[in-house]
Amino acid sequence: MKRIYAVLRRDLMSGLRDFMVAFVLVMPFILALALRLIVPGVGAALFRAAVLEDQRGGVGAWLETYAPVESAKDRAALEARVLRTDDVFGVIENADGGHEIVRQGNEAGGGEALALLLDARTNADFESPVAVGVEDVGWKMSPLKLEGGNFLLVFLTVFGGMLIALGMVEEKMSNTLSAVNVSPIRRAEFVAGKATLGFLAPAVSSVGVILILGFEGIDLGMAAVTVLCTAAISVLIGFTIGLASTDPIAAVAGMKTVFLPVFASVFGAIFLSEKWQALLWWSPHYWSYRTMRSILLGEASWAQVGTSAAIILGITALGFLALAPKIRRGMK
Amino acid sequence: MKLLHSFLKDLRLAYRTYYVYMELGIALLVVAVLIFVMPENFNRSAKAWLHVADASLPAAAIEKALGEDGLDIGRVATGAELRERLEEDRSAIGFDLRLEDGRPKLVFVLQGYESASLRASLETSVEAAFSRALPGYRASTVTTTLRSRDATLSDRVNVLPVFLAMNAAFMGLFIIASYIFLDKSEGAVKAFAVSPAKVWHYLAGKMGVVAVTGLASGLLTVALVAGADAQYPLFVVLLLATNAFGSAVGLFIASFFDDLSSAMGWVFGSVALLGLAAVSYYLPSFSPLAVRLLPSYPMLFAFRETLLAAPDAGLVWANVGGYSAGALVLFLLAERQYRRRMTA
Repeated sequence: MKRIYAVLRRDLMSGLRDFMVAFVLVMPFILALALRLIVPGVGAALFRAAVLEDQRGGVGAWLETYAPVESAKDRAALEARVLRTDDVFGVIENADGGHEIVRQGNEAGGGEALALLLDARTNADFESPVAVGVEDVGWKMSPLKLEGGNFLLVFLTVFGGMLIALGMVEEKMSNTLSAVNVSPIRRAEFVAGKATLGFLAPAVSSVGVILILGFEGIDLGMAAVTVLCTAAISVLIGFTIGLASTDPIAAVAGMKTVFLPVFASVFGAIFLSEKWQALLWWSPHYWSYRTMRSILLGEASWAQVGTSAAIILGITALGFLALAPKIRRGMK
Repeated sequence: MKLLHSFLKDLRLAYRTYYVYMELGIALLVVAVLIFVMPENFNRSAKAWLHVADASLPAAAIEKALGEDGLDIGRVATGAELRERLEEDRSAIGFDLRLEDGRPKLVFVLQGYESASLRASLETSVEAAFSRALPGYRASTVTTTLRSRDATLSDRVNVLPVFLAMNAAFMGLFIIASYIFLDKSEGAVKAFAVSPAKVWHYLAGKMGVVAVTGLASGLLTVALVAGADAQYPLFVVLLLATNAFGSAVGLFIASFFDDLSSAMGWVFGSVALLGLAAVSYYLPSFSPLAVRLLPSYPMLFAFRETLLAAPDAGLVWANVGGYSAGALVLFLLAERQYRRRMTA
């Protein structure tokens, strides 16, 4: 145990000095903060508008109830603003009380709603034949927060593997790996020491992500089981890539390749229809994503978490059986 | 001549390692996912539930109108059942059609996270939609379109700009530091210091290798996914400029560190930050200044233009100019830093 701790401590200290461990620990917090900042803005309005400066108090103030509004000093400036890369509609109030919408022509949407709103302004005294109201069922979590937070929790498990891969390459390059074979530390202890960081980093980061995004009401035990089980496959991949790579270029490329199935698993789980989901059953990150989604929604049961953990660990065990000879060879 | 020699030597060495083939493998994997797994266009019809409280209300007309807006409508018998359905499916919305003071009222039943602006927009615009066919209602809004052209891409091709920016353009950001530090650890950099070639030859040679690999990966993906519709000459020029920029950023970041592990945190951090622009790319009505200032933001839209049948060539060339100038400035700064530190 003491020797495992010694390996962990050495990796932690050297990693913190190199900033890599600090990055792996801090990056999920920064991404969670960024997500928290953008969540209220995304989808908050159907469009964005720009008005003439001298109409800012008129149609500009009226539009602010519906969307973010900015102003331009004259028509040329308004058109220049509309032509910029993002989607902003220009709005000009005409002398007859009607309005002109100035659009670029490639907007993703929102133009029709804006035209209806401006018509409603012109016909403010007209009573609609059907009244319209808005109510809700009290669910405050936006889909972006749910899916973004879930993706982050699944993805941060990969960071632990990345640490192990780069660490192993460095050991090989400085010939300390062969020195381990003649030191009193057993190979299993060395591996356990290295692997601990791969579990520790996602565990710490996931707590931060949960707190920053305001998921503290969820079942933390279920979340911990899911994160740690998913980290197991990342640790295995980290060792395999680290031992198979002769230089950092190969390790970085290897980890980059791992990002792809993780992205595919999460986006496939979100976008594929139910009948195609079976295509992703091979991926532990798919199971992790689905379970974590239920946990964040407060719908998960221990039976679901346990089944998912068993599947993830089962896939990891199969992966280990397939990769064990390679790992053993690499350690020599 | 020395630059060409340095570039060709690096190219030969690079093609003896796994890295280049892995990049091409990743590109092929992305192509396979896009073609065989992802539909050309996503089915955007959202699930909606309608409850009609009174048989005298024009339920069929409302249902037809909602269906025309792309909603997949299901009917429920009670208001309570409507809410239950929304609680079961957090992406669904509900409509409760009732009589209030003798007047029909259509109530949107949302989940609860929707903003006040969105709710106000729904109320006012849908009331206007009901009114506009009636006599006496003045539909007085006219629309001026500044550039009328077809700027739509299929959902599948629309994914390409993100892949091209993050993988082909910013390839150097990921990998160039690894090349430099590997050479350093093997002593190749010190050997270079006593050769007649200059530091910038060495750095530009590395950038050349990344450019060739990025171009191969980008062209492979675009050719197989977008096919003949893409504007290849514009695409190649843009990719070379953005790839040079990505490599120069990578060189600049790496120039402050002595080993790969120290630099990698900053490199991955930069990649994660640059990736945030993808949110505004997919949701163009969300574009805060902080996101618009990211170099990846205009890049995504410029790549998008090169995939359109009628691109805005001016926008692409403006980006080519901007990224080339940025690449040059960062390259010069990095070169000065390397001259001082690399051979130490």
